[in-house]
Amino acid sequence: MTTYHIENFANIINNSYQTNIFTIFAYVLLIFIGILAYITLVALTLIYVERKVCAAIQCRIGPNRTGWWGLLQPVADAIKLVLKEKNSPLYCDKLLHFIAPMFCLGACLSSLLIIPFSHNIQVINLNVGILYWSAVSSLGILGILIAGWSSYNKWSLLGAIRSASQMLSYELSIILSIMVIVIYAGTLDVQKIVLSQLDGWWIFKGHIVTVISFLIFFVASVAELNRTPFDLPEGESELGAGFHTEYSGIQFGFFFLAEYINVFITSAIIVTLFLGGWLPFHLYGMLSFNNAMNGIHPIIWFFLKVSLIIFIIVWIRWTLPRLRIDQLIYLEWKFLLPLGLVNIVLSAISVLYSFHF
Amino acid sequence: MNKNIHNHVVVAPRLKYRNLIKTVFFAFSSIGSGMILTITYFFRSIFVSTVTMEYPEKKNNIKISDRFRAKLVLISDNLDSPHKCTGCKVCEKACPNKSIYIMSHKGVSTKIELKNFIWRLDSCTFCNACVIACPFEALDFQNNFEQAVYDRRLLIYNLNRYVGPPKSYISKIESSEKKASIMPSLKPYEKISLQEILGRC
Repeated sequence: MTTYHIENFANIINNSYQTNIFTIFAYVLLIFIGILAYITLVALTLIYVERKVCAAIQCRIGPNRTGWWGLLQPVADAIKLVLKEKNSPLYCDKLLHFIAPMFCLGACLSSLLIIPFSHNIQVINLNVGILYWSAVSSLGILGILIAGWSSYNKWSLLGAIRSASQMLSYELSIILSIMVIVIYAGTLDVQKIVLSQLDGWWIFKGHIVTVISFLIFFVASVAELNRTPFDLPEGESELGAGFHTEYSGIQFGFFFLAEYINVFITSAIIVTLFLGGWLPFHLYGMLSFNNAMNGIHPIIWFFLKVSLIIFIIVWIRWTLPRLRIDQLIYLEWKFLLPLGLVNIVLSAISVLYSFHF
Repeated sequence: MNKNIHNHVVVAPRLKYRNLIKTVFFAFSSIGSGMILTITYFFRSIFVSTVTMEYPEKKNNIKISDRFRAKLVLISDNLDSPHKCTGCKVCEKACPNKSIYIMSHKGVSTKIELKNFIWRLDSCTFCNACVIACPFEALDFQNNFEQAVYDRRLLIYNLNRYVGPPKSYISKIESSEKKASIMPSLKPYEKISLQEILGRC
C-alpha cells in the first residue's frame, strides 16, 4: 500500500514545460477544455441521477422519452437552457447581475482544484489543501448575495440574505468538524489526510468522536449546498425561486451547474476526510479479501464512495421537508456548534493520550 | 390562563436543553423512519413496479380500478338482451347537467317501456348521481376509458339496443311462447334524429 507514489498533475506539467509559448497556451487550452467537459459531465450525470432517484422514491418512472432510459434528458435540458433568452430586470445593477452567476461557478470550480481523485490525479497538491477548500467554498455565498442584491427584487434579496445567514452559520460547524480530522491526521494536506487512513478510515478509527464530527459535517454541508431540508434561500413556496428568481437562460444554468458541482465537491470532501478518499475498503485480518480490493483502481474506489454519499444526499432531499428559518438557526447555534466545540476538545484529548486506533 | 392567546403573540417553539437527549433521539428516530420508508419506495419501484403506467406502450399491463367511472351502461347479459330499465326517468331528473335523455313509449306489456336511453358523454361529469338514483339498479359505470373520437357528435350514445318490457316483467312470465310474443325482434336501432336530441337535452 505504501507503494502509492504521490505525484500530481501540476508536477507532470512542470516537468514537460517547453519554453515555447504556444505549448503553454496549448496546455492551458487543454486543461480549460478538460475541466469544462468534466464539470459538464458531472453536472449532467447528477441531474439525471437526481431525477431518476426522485422518480423512484415517488413511485414514478422518471424521464424516459429522450434516448435510452431518458439518458439524454439532461442534455436536452442543457440545450434548452443555452438557447433560452437571457433576460434581466429593467432597474437591476447590470454589472453585478452579470457577474454573480460566474462568481458562484468560479468559487466551486476553484474548490475543485484540491480534490484528490486518486494517488496521482489531483490538479494541485497544496499543503494547506483543506484550509484552501474551506476558504474558497465560502466565496460562493458572495455570488449568491450579489445575485440577490443586484436583481432589484425583494424576494431575491430575502433569499440571498437567508442564504448568507444560513451559510455563514453552518460554515462554523463545517470548519469545527474538519478540525477534528485535522487534529487526528496532523496535517492540512488532503493527500496526507488520505494516506493517514491507510490502516483504517477515520470514521472507524476515532471512536464516537469522528462519527459525531461526520454527522455534523454531513448536516452542515447539506445546509451549505442549499438543498432541501435547508433550501430556504430558494424556498419556492415563499420566495418564488429565491436568489435566482430574476435569472434565465445560461445565467440560471450557471447557478444550476454550480449547485450540482458543489454536491459533487462536498461529497468528495466528505469521502476524503472520513471515508478514506481513494483508498480501498479493507477488513482487518482478511488478506485475500484485502488483496482483491487492492486490485480495483483507486479512482474507481473514489467514485464509488462519492456516488454513495451523493445518493444519500439525494435521498435526504426527497424525504425530508423544509425547516423554518428559526429552526435552522437554532439547530446550528444551539445544537451543532456546542456539540462541535465539545467534540473538538474530546478529539484533542483522545489524540493527546493516543486513545484511537 | 395563557396571556399569549389574548395578546395574539405567537411564540416559536424553542429547543429545550432539559429534554435534549429525548429531542435528539426523537429527531434521529423520526428522520430514520422517514428515510426507511422512502428507500423501500425506491427499491420497490426499481425492482417491482411503479405506480405510473405507460399507456400507449404497455397497453396490456394496464390495470384500472373497477370504481373508475368512464362509460355509462345499462346492465344486461349482452347488448341485445333485456335490461332492468323501466323508463321511469328518475336518472334524467337526477342528472345535474341534463346529460341523460330518456324516450319512452307504451309497449306491448301495456306499461311504459324504454325506447331510447340517450347519454351525452360530452356534457357528463361522471358524478354517479344517475347510478345512485336508479331505483332498479339498471345503470352502472364501467371503466373502459378509451372513448376518444374525432367528432363531438359521436359522443352522444344510445345505451340500449333492446326495446321491450324490462327484465323484471319478463322473468315473471313462464311460458316461452308468450315471452317471445312480448319481446320484440332484436334489430339494430332505428335512427334517432340528432336535432331532436340536441333540442331536448
